[in-house]
Amino acid sequence: MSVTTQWTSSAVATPEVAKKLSTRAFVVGLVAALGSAFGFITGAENFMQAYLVGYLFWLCVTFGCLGWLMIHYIAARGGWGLIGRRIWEAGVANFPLMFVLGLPILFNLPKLYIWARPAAVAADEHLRYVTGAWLSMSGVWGRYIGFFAIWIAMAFLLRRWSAEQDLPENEGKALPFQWVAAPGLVIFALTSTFLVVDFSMSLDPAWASSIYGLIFVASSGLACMALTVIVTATLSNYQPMATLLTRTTLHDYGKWCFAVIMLWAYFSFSQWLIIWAGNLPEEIGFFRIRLQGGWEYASLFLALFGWAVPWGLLLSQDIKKSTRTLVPIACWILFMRLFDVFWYVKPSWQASLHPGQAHLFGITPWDILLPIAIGGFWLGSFFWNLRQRPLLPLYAPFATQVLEGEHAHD
Amino acid sequence: MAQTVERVSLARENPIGPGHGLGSVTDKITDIILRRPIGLGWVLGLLTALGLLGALHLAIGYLLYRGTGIWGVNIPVGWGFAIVNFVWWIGIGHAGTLISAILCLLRQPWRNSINRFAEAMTIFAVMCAGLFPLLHTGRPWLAYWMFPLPNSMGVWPQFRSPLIWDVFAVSTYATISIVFWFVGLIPDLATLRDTAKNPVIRGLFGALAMGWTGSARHWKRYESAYLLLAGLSTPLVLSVHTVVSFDFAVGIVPGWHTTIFPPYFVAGAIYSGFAMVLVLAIPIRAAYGVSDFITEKHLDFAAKVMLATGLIVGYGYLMEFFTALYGGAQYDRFLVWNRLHGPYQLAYIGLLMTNIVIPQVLWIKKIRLQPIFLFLISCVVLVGMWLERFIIVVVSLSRDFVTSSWGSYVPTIWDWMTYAGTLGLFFTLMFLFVRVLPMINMAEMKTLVPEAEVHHA
Repeated sequence: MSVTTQWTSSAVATPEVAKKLSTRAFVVGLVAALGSAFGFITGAENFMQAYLVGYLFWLCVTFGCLGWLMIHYIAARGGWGLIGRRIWEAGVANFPLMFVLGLPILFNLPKLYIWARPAAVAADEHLRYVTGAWLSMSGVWGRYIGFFAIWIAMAFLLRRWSAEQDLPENEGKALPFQWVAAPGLVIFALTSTFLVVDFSMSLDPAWASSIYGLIFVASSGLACMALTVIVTATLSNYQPMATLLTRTTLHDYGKWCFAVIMLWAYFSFSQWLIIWAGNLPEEIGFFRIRLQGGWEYASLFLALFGWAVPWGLLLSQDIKKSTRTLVPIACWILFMRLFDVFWYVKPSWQASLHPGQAHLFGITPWDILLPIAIGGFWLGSFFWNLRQRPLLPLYAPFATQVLEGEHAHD
Repeated sequence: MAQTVERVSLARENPIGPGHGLGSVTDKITDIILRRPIGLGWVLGLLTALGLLGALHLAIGYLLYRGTGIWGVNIPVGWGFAIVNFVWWIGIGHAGTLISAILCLLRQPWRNSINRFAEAMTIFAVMCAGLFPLLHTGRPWLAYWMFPLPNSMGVWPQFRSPLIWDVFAVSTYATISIVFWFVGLIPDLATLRDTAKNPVIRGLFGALAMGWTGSARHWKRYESAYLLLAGLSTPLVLSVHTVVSFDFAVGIVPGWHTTIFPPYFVAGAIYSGFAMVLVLAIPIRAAYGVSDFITEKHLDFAAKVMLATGLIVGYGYLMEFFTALYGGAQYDRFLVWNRLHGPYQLAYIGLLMTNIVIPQVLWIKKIRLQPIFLFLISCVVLVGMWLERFIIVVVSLSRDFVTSSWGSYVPTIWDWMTYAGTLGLFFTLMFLFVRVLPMINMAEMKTLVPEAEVHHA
């Protein structure tokens, strides 16, 4: 059945509100950054630990945008994929920003990582081995620059071709998205894994887990999907998203949240079970420090509210189909992704830099302010990027089906 | 700049060949069962499979007479072919449920042509898999001890052992797979009942169809039941091979104890499962002229799934090696050396070639659309996935922590006969299946023909 539809490119333009959101986010980011600057003066180590948590969380969101964007090009070209596309494109355009925001970590490695302290390395045989094998300064810097170059290049190409698709003369023209997206997913899985090893797993250089990268990949996918729900729902108060975001599409996003939350829990549970059952001295320490000093409640909180409760709620179709119910859950999921990064970073950082001390669960003001500061800049840039292009690539294949959605003719 | 665009919606991508209607789908598939004469190729294939099945009977008979000493297993390699083949077969069984359940939930219409025989393949593969641990117990007549049955000795299974979880995981998987398969068959069995001329055959299909009339009420209940079974089966796709991976990973043996095992086992299972789907689908579409139902698109999709899951398996290998070298534990580092340079070096290189290197040709679309190449690559993947399980079981066990306890493993003729025999069992059942039951789901295929489109006034 062929249906003719009239749509204009101005009708799918991103609403003005994106500009307002961008400005507000930058202001919030700036205020939080100024507020947290005091922390660097009073305790640079604690500050850097909180900075690492905030940075890794927003890097995960950026990773998620790249992952979903590439999945869209190879497996989900219509419906939810097409509606999410410009959101994810705005997210991947933040890779240069994340490169800059990551530099303070690289300039302050000894404040975060035991392996970056020459005296500690000289005194410990394993640290000598691991710094020789992988965690050398030049290696960490080299990988950081190389990986970001790859991600920025992939994001650039995908965004450029997508912009070309906005030109009417390119309608129906085959653009080589898949040439980047298919191998890109393989490259992305490897590079993101190794970056997470450098920045997070190496906080405890005596401990290694082969599923670690996959846990962060799942976490990234989940964080980005939750953000997609929030952004599409917010923009659905304005045209064109009011027309584009149908209950079916929202349901699809809800289903993805449900599926990926399960995947994250599956990876995390597998890691815990295998290490618990093996009970080897070089491995079990990771969970021991997270099961004492108040961290046991944090771990329980993560299992219950990071997985069980949102997953249980998302079983309901009605909850997944309404912005009123799905958006609060998506906000909660996003918060729990931040808590998850905190749970991975802080205990390992405490235990490796201050061995022999009691490591109590605690949240500093910087643990709150710095993720907000980095998030402010991230979202400010994100909404600015979003404003640069129409919210829907009008000439993309399958765009017609999206425009003929449930409310298309309201 | 406001551009006015006039556009026409893209035609729905139809995964079956053109020119088919409701009647032609029924005719083509029922013809294979009810009217088509038995061909020489089918007879020769069945006889070969039956020959191998005979070898299985011989091998099992002698095993029951002499005990597991006839196999190559001994300390330190107490898990030999039995566990290698168990994991291999269980893995193959995964594609059926993935295609039936997960692709159903993901609304992928291309699954409709291949789900039926993939489900049958799953059931037969699980039957083959189940034989191995049963025989490996040494006293299969006492296998019911693995179930938590109250007994006068007060002996209970060790619930903390993944081997017991396996009993529950595999038996649940087999049960749900059979129910799912049978529920999906009911409308087609009714079609066969209504089409068959022979009263005996009509009676048989009629009994199996359980009074299906095709009424709206029947369809409504059927759809609900099917969706529920798809939902129930989906976690099973993950859980079964996850539990199988725990059999290894909860132990502290180097090469087994690594956290990536669960997802990497699941990906490997789907990898080998799709390879077996292609190994079966390619000859079937040629022999029975159903290439307009199982089209090049299906081969392309299946090849892409194989490529993707193969890459996840490759990620698993890489992470396993990386973690071993990065963590720096003495035994883990030795494992890497032992796989690359030890006595089973050739098997390991073969594994890398067959599982990782050769399947990369699937990036090329022309190869994905060439049935012969695809068939050969699928065979290569099946060999590769078998080698993977061999490496995991044998290399790790033959050289563990204490050098004085090192040993080697050589399978005996009885090991090979049992393995080949299960191939015989599998193919015997497949040969019989394609002639007595509809190997392609008629009811679901009919939803893809143009007549099934909903037309609005």
